[in-house]
Amino acid sequence: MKNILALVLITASLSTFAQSESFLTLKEKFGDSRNVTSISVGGFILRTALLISGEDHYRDEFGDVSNVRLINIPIEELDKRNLKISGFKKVLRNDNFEEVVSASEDGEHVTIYMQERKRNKNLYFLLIEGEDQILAIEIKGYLDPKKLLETNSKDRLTSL
Amino acid sequence: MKKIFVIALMMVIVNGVFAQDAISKFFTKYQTDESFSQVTVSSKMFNLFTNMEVESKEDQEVLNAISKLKGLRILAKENTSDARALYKEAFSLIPTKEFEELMSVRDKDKDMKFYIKESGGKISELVMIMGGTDDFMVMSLFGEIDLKQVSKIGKKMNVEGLQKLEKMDDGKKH
Repeated sequence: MKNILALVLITASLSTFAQSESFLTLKEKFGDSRNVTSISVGGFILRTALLISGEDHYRDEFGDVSNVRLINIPIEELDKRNLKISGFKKVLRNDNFEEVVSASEDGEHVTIYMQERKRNKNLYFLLIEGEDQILAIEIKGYLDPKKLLETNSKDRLTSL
Repeated sequence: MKKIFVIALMMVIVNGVFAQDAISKFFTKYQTDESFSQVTVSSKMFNLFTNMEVESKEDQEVLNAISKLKGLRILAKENTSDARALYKEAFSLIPTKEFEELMSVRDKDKDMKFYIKESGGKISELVMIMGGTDDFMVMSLFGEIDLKQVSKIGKKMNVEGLQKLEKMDDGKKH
């Protein structure tokens, strides 16, 4: 029993370490708001969820993902706190995230950042800015760059 | 004499700045226009491709070519009545002193022009402008560009728009 408890505590603490400072910042600033949704799932559950929901074609992209966290913040919550998304982008840069690709279409702006780590345990940060909400997704693991590019740009630009 | 020298120097600087920024100006003008779609790819993304596993020597050559790219910008607009006007505007902004027309392609109802900027014997920028009946796109690829690999880069990366670079192979055959 003691060993199991120790294992759970270690896993929990490792999970905390796995979060980026950027994601922690969002959670600290907005986590207590009722309008803000925050979810954390492991890679296995994510792949299972994609299978069940019929989004099989995305399973390949998440083959080497160990963890996904997301937080959905209505724009009004930023306004209440006098915060701007540009300020958060500075937090990302200071947290050693580099911008990899960005795309815009129909008023929605998507940027993917990456923090390269050892043993393919990279951290990716997707920032999706809509008209009335911001969705921030942190992914830990390895994503095929070709699929990253395809998924982001193909959805933005239909065949010309 | 000093005055003439200073004025000449300022003219060179001013012209240089404007010439370099011609395509950037076009992107800047429309980047906040929500009727346009945009894609920007940084050098970081291109670097990621170098770690991919490849099966053939040919694929390795393509990845090597990709690793030397510094950036890609695409600006596009669909289902628009001003596609031709945008095409002419982008076309008129190409600084002809710095860019050379590489190729021109007419494909059904679309016109495409490819321009390159060369410095030190190397191609540092490739610009593609495409105008159709109701579609428009301008693309700028920069870094150290290997023209022989450019169409394969388009296929490898599978980015909509970048695939138009395959036309360069078709154009060369004509």
